[in-house]
Amino acid sequence: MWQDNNNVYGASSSQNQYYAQGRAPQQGVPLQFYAPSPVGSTFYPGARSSLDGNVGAQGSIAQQGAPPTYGGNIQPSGGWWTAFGTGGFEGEPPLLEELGINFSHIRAKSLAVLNPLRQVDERIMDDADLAGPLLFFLCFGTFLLFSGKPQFGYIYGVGLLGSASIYMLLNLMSEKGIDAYRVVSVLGYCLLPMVGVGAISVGVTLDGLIGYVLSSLSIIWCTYAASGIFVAVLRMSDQRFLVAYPVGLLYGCFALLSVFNVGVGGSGSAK
Amino acid sequence: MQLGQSAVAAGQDYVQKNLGGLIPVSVMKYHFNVSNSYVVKKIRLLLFPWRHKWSRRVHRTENGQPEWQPPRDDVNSPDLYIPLMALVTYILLAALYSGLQARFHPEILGITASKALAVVLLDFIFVKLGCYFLNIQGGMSNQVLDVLAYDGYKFVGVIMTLIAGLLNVGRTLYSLVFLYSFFATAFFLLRSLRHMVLPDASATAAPVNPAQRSRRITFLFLVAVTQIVYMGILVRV
Repeated sequence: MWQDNNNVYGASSSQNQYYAQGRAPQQGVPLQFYAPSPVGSTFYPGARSSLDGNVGAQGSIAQQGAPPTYGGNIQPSGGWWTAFGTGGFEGEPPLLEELGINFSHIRAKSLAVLNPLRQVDERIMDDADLAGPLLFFLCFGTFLLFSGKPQFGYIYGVGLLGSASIYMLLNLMSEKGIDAYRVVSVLGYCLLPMVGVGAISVGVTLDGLIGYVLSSLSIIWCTYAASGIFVAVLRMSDQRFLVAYPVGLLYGCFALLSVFNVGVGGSGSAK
Repeated sequence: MQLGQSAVAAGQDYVQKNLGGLIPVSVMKYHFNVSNSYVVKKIRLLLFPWRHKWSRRVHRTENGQPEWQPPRDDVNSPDLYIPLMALVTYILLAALYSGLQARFHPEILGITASKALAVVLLDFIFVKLGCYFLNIQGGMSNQVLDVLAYDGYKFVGVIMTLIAGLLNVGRTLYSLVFLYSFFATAFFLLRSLRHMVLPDASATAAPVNPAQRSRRITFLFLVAVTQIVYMGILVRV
C-alpha cells in the first residue's frame, strides 16, 4: 500500500523491484525494465544528474544503452576476467546506485527528521536504509578519535546492544511490531545532533559546564525526534514518554562516551 | 540489500521455530503493557507506599480462566518496564558518578551491569528457593516474571539514593535517604508478596495451617530485611 506512495520516501520500493528483477534467470529475454514503470523515471533525480550528467528523462537513458542488457540484466560478454578490468560490463548500474546509497535522499531524510517543529508522517521511515546511519556512526567515531577518545569498539558495542534492546522493547510494548532494520535506521538518523556535539568536542573539551549543557540538549533533541517517529510508526497510545525514556538512556550512553575522557586510573590498574 | 533482508527473514524463522518456546513472548508482552499514568502512579507508590489499598484486580478472559488484569488497568499489577528501565538507569548513573570523579572507563558499564544482574539473580534464587521449601503454589500468574519484577523495583530506591549522593547533600542526609528508600522498598515488597505467599481464603490454592502460616510470615520478613544487604551492595558505585 505504501509502495504506491512515490514521493521522496518511496525510493527503496522501486529499488527492490530493480534487484528482484535483476536476479531473475537471464535467458536473454530483454527485461522491459524502465519502459512500463513510470516509477523508475522519477526516483533518484539528484543522483542521476550527478553521476551521469544526464538531467533528462530516465527513459532516454534506457534507450541509449542496448535495450536488452540495460537495467539489471547484466550479461558478461567477455570472460570472468572483465570484472577486474576497467571496461566493466555492458549495462552495469552505477556503483552508488547498486549499493543503495543516495546522498540527496540521506540529506533530505536527515533534515526532515531533525526539524523538531514538523508533524511526523507515519511513512517517513518506510524505506529503512542503513547507509545514512552507518555514515553517521562513522563520523561520530571519527570526531571522537580526533578529540582524543578512540572508542570505536565501545561505540559499536553500545550501538548494537542498544539497538537490539530497543527493538525487543518496542516489539514487546506495542501491538503492531516493527522490524530491526527500521529501528536501527531511525536510531541512526536521530544520532545527528550527537555527531554535531562530537564535532564541537574536537575543538572544545566537553568535560565542563558548557559541555554538560550541550550534551544534555543534544540528548533531548535526539530523543524527541526518535520517540516521535517511533510513536507515529507504531501507533502507540499514550506511551510517548515510555518510548522516549529508553531511547534517551541509549543516547545518554553515547553522550557519556563523548564527554568523559578515560580516567588515568582506568578500571583497576594501579595509578 | 534484498538478499540480506531475505537472509534475515530466514534466520528469524529458524530462531522462532527452535527457540520460540524458550522465551514466551506473549507472556512478556503482558508485563510490558503499561501506560504513562501507570508508570507515574507506580513510582509514586514505590517511594511512598504507606497508605494504599493492595488488592489486585481479577477479570475473566474469554475461555473462563480467571487472570489478573494487565498493568495498564491495575496499579497493583507488577510490570517489567519499570524494573528494566531502573536497572539501565542505575548502570548509567554509576557511569556518570565515576565520570564526575574523573575515573570514567567504558568498562565500568559492563562491571556495573554484571553486579546488578548478580544481585537480582541472588534475590530471585532466594525467593524461589523459599517458595520451593515452603511449598507455595504458583497461582494465577507467571511466577518467574512476577518475582523478577518485584526484585527489580528495588533499583528505584537505589537510584533515589544515588541522586541524593550526586547532589552532595552531606553524609547524614544521604544515610537518611538511603534508610528511607530501604524502608519504602521493604514495605512495598512485604505488601506485594503477601498475596503470593499468604493466599486469601477465597483463592484457589490449598488452605494454610497456622504453623505453615507463621513460617511463611517469617520468610516474608527475611525477604524484606535482606533488601538492605542488596541495596547496600548496589549503592557502592
